[in-house]
Amino acid sequence: MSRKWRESIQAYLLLSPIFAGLIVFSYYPPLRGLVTAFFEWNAAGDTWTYVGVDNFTKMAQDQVLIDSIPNMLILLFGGMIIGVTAPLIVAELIFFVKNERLKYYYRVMMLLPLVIPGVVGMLVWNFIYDPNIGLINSLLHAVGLDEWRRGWLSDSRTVIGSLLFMGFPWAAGIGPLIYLSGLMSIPTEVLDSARMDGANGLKRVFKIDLPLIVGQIKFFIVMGMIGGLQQFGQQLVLTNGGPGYSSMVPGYHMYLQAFTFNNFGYASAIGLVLFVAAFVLTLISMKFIKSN
Amino acid sequence: MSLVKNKHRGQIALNAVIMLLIALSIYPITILLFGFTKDTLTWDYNKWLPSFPLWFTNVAFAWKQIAHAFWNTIFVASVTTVGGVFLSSLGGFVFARMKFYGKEILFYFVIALMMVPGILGLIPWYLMLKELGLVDSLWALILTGIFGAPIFGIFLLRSFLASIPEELFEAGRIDGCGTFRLYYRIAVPVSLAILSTLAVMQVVNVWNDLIGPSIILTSKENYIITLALRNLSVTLGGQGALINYPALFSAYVISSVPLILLFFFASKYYVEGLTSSGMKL
Repeated sequence: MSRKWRESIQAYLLLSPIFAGLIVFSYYPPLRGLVTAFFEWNAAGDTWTYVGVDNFTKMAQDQVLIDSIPNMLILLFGGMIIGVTAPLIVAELIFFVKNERLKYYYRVMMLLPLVIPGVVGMLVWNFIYDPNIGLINSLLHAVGLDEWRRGWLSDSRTVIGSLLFMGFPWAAGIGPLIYLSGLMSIPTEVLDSARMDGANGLKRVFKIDLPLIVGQIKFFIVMGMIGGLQQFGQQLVLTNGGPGYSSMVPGYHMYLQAFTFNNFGYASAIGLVLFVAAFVLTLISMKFIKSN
Repeated sequence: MSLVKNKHRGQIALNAVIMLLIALSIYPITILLFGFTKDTLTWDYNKWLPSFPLWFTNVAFAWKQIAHAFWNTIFVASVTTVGGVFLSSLGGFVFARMKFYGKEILFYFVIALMMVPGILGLIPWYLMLKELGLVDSLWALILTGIFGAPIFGIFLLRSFLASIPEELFEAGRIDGCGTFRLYYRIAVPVSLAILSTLAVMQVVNVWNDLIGPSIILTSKENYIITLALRNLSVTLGGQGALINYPALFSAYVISSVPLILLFFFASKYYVEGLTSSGMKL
């Protein structure tokens, strides 16, 4: 037996536990999802019945689902714009700082809010939005704007905006660091010659920096799309899709259909549509935003 | 002269803006820190600023509420991290340093999963675990975490280990090291920093995991911290002004302690790992 074959067998043996796990936990579930989307589960006999495209035609008549799409789009595009621009602005501000030591401290400070679990972050904002004693209503009271006070998450007119506003000023976390690593890898000669040509401040940002960190921007756009289509953590912890259905999103509708109403087939169909949407949006943005 | 002065002023303004942004980002944490040592009366009069003396009655109460979930989370996070980091480093080593047939295809088989949106698999994942009898078991989360880790882990470790000079491994081979010895005597020691990064990411993932546990874990004895906190915020709350916020805040602070410790000891690795892994598309 050749040496390469011997090494191959060894490699396969070492990789086998990893691949066994990936097949069971990463490949099997989505593949099974492709199938369950065309079936419906019967709780009484624990049986699956083939229903063809019924689950998909049902979606077209599901008013809750249809009404949840605009909510998702606002949260998706709003969240994506915030997710792309806010960390970029913060990263550029830090990049303009001359003192290296301060620069380092700022980077560490940006990460500090990560020490509280994500759920706690959401629950703290729940308190900030509290209708009676929350920070926002207290501030409004202090400046005499009592008529603006409201339950920010329990008022159907403000709930979506309030979900987007959570985390303001969106400066913390790993976003600024990812941008900064891109900015710091710009060769000093490029920055020096830009300065010689009189490209300072904003002019340099647009002419030099942005074109060189397109890769990072693309990363945040794609992540924002995939995340925005699938996320429902805020609904799960804070709003339950309410008040009424005013903060419902398709992902949370899917979750409720499956785990509250046991409509596993129908929920899988919603999951399949969201999956296809996320995949198509990813491919489009990969194709149309060029980076090297 | 005035140009220099202007530039100086510019830097001061710039730093002031950054510090303001940081202060606003950190303020939610400080609300927690100010609040969790207040008793109900102090809280009624002073919600936004620190106050003395410190009261720890609510801390003791909160700990009783979430202690069980806290230890559950520590258990899940430890096992998941050890298992996940081991599989990632082993896989990274094999793909970086061994020559075998089908290497490229198998590698794409792994990293392609980074691009698969998870939502399609969520329901079948639950159905599968139900059939395996793992509903309401912490092992459902542990196994999912361990075998989910190598997807990004192999990607990270392979590029790192591929950049190590071959002489290092050649020396090991001359000393008669077998493949597995090369892995744990050479590959593991040189990649400790990046393995720490991966470990931190794993722990943080477990600490933030919400949707999976909310599906799988049904009884309170098996709750992990995210579920316990959500549950506590509902049971202590729901009556508007009557919510015992200091007790809630105590629970939030307690649940953050492991992450604070982790951040304290490993933030350097975390920052380096994130910035050097070159996240872009």
